[in-house]
Amino acid sequence: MSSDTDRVEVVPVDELTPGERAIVDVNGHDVGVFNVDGEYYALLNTCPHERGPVCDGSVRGILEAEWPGPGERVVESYAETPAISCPWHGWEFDMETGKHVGDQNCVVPTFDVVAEDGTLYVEP
Amino acid sequence: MSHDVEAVSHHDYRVVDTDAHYIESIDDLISYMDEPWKTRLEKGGEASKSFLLPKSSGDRTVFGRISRDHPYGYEGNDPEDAAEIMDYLGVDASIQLTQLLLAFARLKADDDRAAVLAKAYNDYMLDQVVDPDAGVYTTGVIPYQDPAVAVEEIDRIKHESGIVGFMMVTGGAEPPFGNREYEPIYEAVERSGKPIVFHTGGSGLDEFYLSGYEKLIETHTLGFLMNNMAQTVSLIVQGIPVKFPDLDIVFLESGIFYIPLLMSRLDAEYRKRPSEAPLLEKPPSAYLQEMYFGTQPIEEPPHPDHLKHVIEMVGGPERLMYASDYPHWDFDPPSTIADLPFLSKDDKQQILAGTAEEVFGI
Repeated sequence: MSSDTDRVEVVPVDELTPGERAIVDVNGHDVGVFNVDGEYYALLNTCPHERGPVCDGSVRGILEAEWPGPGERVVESYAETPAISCPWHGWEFDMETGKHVGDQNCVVPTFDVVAEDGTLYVEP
Repeated sequence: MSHDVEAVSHHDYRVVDTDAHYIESIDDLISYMDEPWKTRLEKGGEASKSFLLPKSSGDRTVFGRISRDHPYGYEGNDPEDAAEIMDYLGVDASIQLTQLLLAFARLKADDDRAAVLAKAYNDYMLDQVVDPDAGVYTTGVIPYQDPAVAVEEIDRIKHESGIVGFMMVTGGAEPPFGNREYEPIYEAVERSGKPIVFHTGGSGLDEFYLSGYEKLIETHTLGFLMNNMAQTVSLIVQGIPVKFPDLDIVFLESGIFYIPLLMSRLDAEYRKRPSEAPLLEKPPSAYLQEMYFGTQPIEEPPHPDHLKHVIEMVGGPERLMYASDYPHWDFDPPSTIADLPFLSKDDKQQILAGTAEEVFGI
């Protein structure tokens, strides 16, 4: 099938359990593929800041804050949307969109991940 | 050849001075004070005045070297001086800020001195000095040490046409002004429709003198700059511009070169640590470019183009407002703006008056 020639096989689905990640070669570029609580994400493993290995970084929900009103303490919580922080300098990206959580002008390219017949693929 | 300031002023422009200082004395304020302070100061000697408001100063005149042939120095002003000073500088409207209360951040004890002084200052200025018809205005001093009292004071005087904003003294304020304890103050000022003005104290009114710096050239360089920078960082990172989007924020008396520095450094930190400023909806520099800055003491780099670039970096003439800081030793006459070789006439008018007209409504 022609569509198979474009996409890149990652690993069998059951090898990428929640919390796991894999780094694969996609057309000569390292791409990180993640299973975060059952959702798959894929990002280029190159930080737009200093080209650090962003996909080696820590993954957790984006920290959100709510302000109840004047004089009240800000309430912080983790959103469901995960973010990954580049281990070199902490640049933090929304894994869904690839956009830096504080500056939408800074973007890591993202890729679609599909599961088919027990195998995960990255679609460049 | 005349060396009068008036002679180098430019009569082609309307000029609003956003930071002149009316030199009031404790004696001016006593009759406006609440008891028991009024009696304490009337009956007490000089020591009672220095207890009320601890002050420190170096010699601004460089031990007699700065000796201007002009009557309006540090020896104190009379109410009628305001109009004469404006005429001398060639300004059409003047916001006369406090002199005495630049030491305000020294008041750290939990007593009522800040409230008594602020109220006495505001009433004295309204009663004796402020004259909107003549273009003489002031900013209400906020006794931020007691936020509940501060809100009452803002609400008490906010309808006065002579009060064009509310001032917080930044020199050594603790906790810093991004702290939530000040938020009722920002809410009240935002509600008033008038701007909040941060004016620093320096040269010994800050921690540098206490920590051993010897010369006024050291404390004056550091105190003003560092205190404005410290409070700007606190306000932005703690999200005050996000929490109070209609609050106009003005910073005075540190020149303008520090603003691009903060923009670059804060943005770099924010990209590395966005989870520490989760309220922000855009990079910190964008909030800095929404604030307003008094120009004095404007930097005079060897290459004027460098100043041109800084003005562009901070957001252009729409963010800047001329300030003299008169009669202080490092005052800027209007010619510091009017003579700039790279600005258009419109841009000069914007800085000399336009921005202040929009922000202060004068």
